[in-house]
Amino acid sequence: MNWNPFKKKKEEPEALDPLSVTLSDLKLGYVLDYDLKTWQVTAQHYYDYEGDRVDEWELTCGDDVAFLERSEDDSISWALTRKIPLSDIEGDVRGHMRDHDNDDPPDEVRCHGIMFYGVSSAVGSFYKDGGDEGQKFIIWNYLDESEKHTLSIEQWDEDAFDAAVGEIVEEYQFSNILPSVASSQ
Amino acid sequence: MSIFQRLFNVSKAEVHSAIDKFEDPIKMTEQGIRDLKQDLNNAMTSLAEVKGQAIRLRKQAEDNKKASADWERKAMVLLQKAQSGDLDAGEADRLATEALSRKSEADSRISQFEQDAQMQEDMATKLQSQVEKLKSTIATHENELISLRARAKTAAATKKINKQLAKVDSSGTIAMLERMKERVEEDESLSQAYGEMADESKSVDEEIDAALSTSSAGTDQRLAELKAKMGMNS
Repeated sequence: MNWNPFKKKKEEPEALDPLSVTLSDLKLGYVLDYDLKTWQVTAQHYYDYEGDRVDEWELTCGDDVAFLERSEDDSISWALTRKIPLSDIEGDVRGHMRDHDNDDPPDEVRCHGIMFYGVSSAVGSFYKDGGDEGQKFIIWNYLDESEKHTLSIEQWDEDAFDAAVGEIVEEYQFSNILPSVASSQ
Repeated sequence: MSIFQRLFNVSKAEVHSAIDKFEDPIKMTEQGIRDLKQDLNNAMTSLAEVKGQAIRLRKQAEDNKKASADWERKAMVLLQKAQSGDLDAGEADRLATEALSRKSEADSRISQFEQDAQMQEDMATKLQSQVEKLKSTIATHENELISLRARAKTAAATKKINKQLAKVDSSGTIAMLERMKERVEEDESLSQAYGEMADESKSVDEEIDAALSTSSAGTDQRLAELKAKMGMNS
């Protein structure tokens, strides 16, 4: 007989307090409002930059897909980005990287009429859907003069590039965060 | 009513009374709030589901709009090809008709998806107002719980003090202090009584002497004053 009256009861996970759900609690299936639109979390990934973790949630509203990024240094910062074709960036980024010894893109780039200035670059690993196996890549980050708009260029392979533009956002801009059925069980 | 029924009712009343005594208002309120939060959680997940469904339906409507436009474009290209002689006119008509039929199917799906999406959005609006109401109710009760906790703490402290005082009064310090006060008062009364008795025990002779002693003192004084006036030494 396996029944043991003195066996410790398995601790149940703490129930989510629906009144204190924050942006950092987002999980797959969650719904939230931003910019007068309702978005649903359709994927959740994270990046690792030599120990510094950046969380990313894919938000979908109809045809619109955006990526909400959360990074934590001294404080928590948020950015909302959208993928763009590399060709949206003026000039020949690939050619520049090929022609220069350091393989870096230009220090200054123009995109959608905004001038961006390079601020940092890093080597990171991307963990799709929070999986165990990371995919290595290099990222170059840019900011505009107001430091409110962001641009990033990512190199995944010899000739595989991604680019994204976005803006720095604040947590208060997001509201009505609703937990999903899967996460509440 | 049978005797058993009456006995049952009496027992029931006693059990209810005993349970009432066990009820801790703070714990009961906390449990009530927990239950309300569970209800809120369920309402919020339902709302998320409805909103998610609306988002998906809108996306499907958008996808079908794109498909519809694409079929129309294809039909036009076919007709243009026929016009330029690149394609047989009959074949172009047949294919263009087929493309337009697909466009028509996509259009009907658009209207269905939009209708369904609208239904989900209306439901979401209703659910949203219920969620807001529930949130506000919970917030009100949480505030009341803070006040209840403070009041219960004060009441418990007051009860403890009063109980302590009541317990001490019958046999403890306060009764002892009262007894001591009474004894001092008794001693005072006794000493006063002794004093009065001592006054009463003086003899008549002693009283006359006392009176004379007072008057003699006055005479002596006056004599001394007279001698002084006459310039005589005493």
